[in-house]
Amino acid sequence: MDLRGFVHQELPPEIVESNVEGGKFMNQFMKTHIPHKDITRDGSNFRFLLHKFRTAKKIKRKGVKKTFLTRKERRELEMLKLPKAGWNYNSLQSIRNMWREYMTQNLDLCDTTNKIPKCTDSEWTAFSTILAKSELVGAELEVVRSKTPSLVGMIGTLVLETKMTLQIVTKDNKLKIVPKECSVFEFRLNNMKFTVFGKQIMTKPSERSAKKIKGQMYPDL
Amino acid sequence: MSKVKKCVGKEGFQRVNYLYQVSNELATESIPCNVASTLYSNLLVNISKKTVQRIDIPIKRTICKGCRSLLLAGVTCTVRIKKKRAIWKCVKCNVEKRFDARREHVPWTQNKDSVVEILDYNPNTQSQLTENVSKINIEDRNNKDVS
Repeated sequence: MDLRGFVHQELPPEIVESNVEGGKFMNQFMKTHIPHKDITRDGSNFRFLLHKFRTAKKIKRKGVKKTFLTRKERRELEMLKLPKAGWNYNSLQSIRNMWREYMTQNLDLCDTTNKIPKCTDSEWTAFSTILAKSELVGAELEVVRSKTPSLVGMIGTLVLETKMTLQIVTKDNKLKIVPKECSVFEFRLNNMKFTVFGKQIMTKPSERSAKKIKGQMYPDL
Repeated sequence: MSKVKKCVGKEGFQRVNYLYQVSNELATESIPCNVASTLYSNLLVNISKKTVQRIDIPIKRTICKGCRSLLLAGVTCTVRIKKKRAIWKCVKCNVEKRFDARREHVPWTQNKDSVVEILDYNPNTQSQLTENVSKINIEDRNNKDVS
């Protein structure tokens, strides 16, 4: 089957035989076939009606370079969650030492002459606010009390603090996630023992150092 | 006067300092430690934003703009020099940082003229320094700002 007939029709023989130029032929053709209101003459070029409705070319805007990553992108790069496997308790020894050093400096315990304030002293409030604002990452924590009985007695170094949880690497090289709300923690510094109620530090760790801290604590059951 | 001056916002500074050291410590260890170190440096930037304490330039330049992980030249980022500019490209997120690499270029905070006053909070050396608190070039700086 010959497809040539379908695809295009050949020019009628009158046009092919007459030796009129292409441009002139088009002019004649338009005059005869298109209603003459639709054609406006602009110099030598024809302009169609639809021409004026054509939108202007879109100008590409040079946007500001985006540098920060969105939360979704961070999640895809696996930067938000700590992996569960592959921890080593012994390799975290350096952090524990650094934390001890940092904490002694932070609480002004470098000189042994400095007294540790007691509950009744006037310096007690200043001491406890410093403690509440300091960083806990790297501390050796122990879960003293908790609503979930399997978490009680767990010992390990703190690796990450989030709003609701503390994440701990235990001596069996496992990452454990402990909820703050229903547990009480303990850590030791030199010859002192601190107890931290998880419910009292339920804020984002970045906001904690700017937050006002109440002197009194209301215990609840 | 033997009274020890107290530094304003000392806890914040020390917290940032400690976090930076820890994230440096863990950056080159195993994979989970690496993730933790990026989280610490992220926390560091957030704290300094929250407490409105600026980070000094040499420290700020070693934290990636995109993923906020620590940049160690040759380990977590590549360093190239093109057109008198040092380009630090993070391996993880491919975000670039560009610095002027010309020798005569010194950032303003590294410049000696920017120092107006030096405060010393160390109780051992404080007694000596109380008298000669240096006031360098305050007038010069004001003139520059006007012009």
